Amino acid sequence: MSAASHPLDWLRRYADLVDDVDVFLEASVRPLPRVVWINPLRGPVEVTEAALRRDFLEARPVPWRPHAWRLPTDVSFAGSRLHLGGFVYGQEEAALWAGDLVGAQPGERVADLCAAPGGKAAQIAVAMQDRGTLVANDRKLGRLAALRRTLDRLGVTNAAVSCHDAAVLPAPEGWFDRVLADVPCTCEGTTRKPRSRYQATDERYRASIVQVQKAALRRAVKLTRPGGTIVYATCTYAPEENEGVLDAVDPSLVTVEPLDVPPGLRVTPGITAWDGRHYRPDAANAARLWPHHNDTGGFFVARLRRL
Amino acid sequence: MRDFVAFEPYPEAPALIAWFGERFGIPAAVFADFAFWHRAGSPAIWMTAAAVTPPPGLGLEALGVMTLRKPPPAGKPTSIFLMKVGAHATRRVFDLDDATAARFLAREPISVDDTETYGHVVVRDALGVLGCGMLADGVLVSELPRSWTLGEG
Repeated sequence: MSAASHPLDWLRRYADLVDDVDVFLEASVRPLPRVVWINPLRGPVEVTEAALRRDFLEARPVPWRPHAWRLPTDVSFAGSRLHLGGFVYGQEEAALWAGDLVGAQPGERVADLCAAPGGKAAQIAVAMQDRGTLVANDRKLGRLAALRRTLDRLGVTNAAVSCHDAAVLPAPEGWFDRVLADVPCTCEGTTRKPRSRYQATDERYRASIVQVQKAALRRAVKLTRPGGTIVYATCTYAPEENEGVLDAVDPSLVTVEPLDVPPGLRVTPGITAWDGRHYRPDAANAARLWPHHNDTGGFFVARLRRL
Repeated sequence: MRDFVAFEPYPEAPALIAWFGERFGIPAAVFADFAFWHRAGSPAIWMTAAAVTPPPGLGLEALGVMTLRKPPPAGKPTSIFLMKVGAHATRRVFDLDDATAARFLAREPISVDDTETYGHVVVRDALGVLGCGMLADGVLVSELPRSWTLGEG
């Protein structure tokens, strides 16, 4: 296939952010491996892992993440006993890291502002050992059923589910120890998912979603207590939706913290200048995941400390 | 703007816990880790982990897991509730082998060796609680949400 005819040619927009743009484009059309993580809220991890390895002989551990397993793309596990009973949850491998970075602890107050379909919210509840209070919010009423189904199936009992615009979430300011803003985005990093349309991003849509992202992150910052943690995440590469959104938060309210990257996970640092724009210097502490580096989807994540 | 009715602690929790003890043999101590909630104007009862604190002023769609849509004895315990506490049940419990459990999850009626028990029961397999079943005349049928049917996804 010649470079010019690649169905994702428009992703060349990011050629100067990535080490090898042709390898990146080729990886972006390959179907994703399935990844599942083990849910300790439903039973001992060792028992579930033994059952997973018995039922899915092809399961291989994710190298950088304990209790997460890769399955071949074509394996059907959605109707399995392990899935229905909430013993495992299928989640994109790159997204798994964002949930981990929240660093939720038992007994804390944590909010996931854009929580549907609930994978990261469930991950946070697991980290909290189902203790404390988790607010799992999503603006779309139609997506709440999926969110509730996830939390119910996985046996989460510390979650309050709400349906509000993240930008105006009516909880007290400074109430939360940690807030995840895994915001709606142009999803340019999800081309490997089934039924992807490979359509180039409409820049007018990007301009409008950036306003949603900025409003959500600003609210996330307000909702977090001083010293608390905010994680900002998207499944897109675009600096406008990532570093540009970090840039929209008052620098006196937050710092972007360095990330502990697990051994075996390859990321590239956030950028501080692109296409004639300059971003806050600590945006370099954020991270991008590229499809060809870890055989995952594309992702961006930043962890902020509330001052 | 929608009106939200706040969740409040369920005042009849001790009687509810006693009923789960009588009916399913679940020890009251199991519920020390949980709290029950309801909303004015709704018969549904919800269960959360003990120390959950809903944020003041935040209208909610759900809090923890739905336990019963109506108070006992009319209400059916939800499968998600039984999956949390049914491991401790000692009465009205049916432990199925893997093959029978798969048939139960596929919503096939299962013949059991018990024509005395009527009503809602806890159904388990080797991995844990499958959910709520309905037993009548020695035939056990699934009361799990239809969207959970094995083989669909």
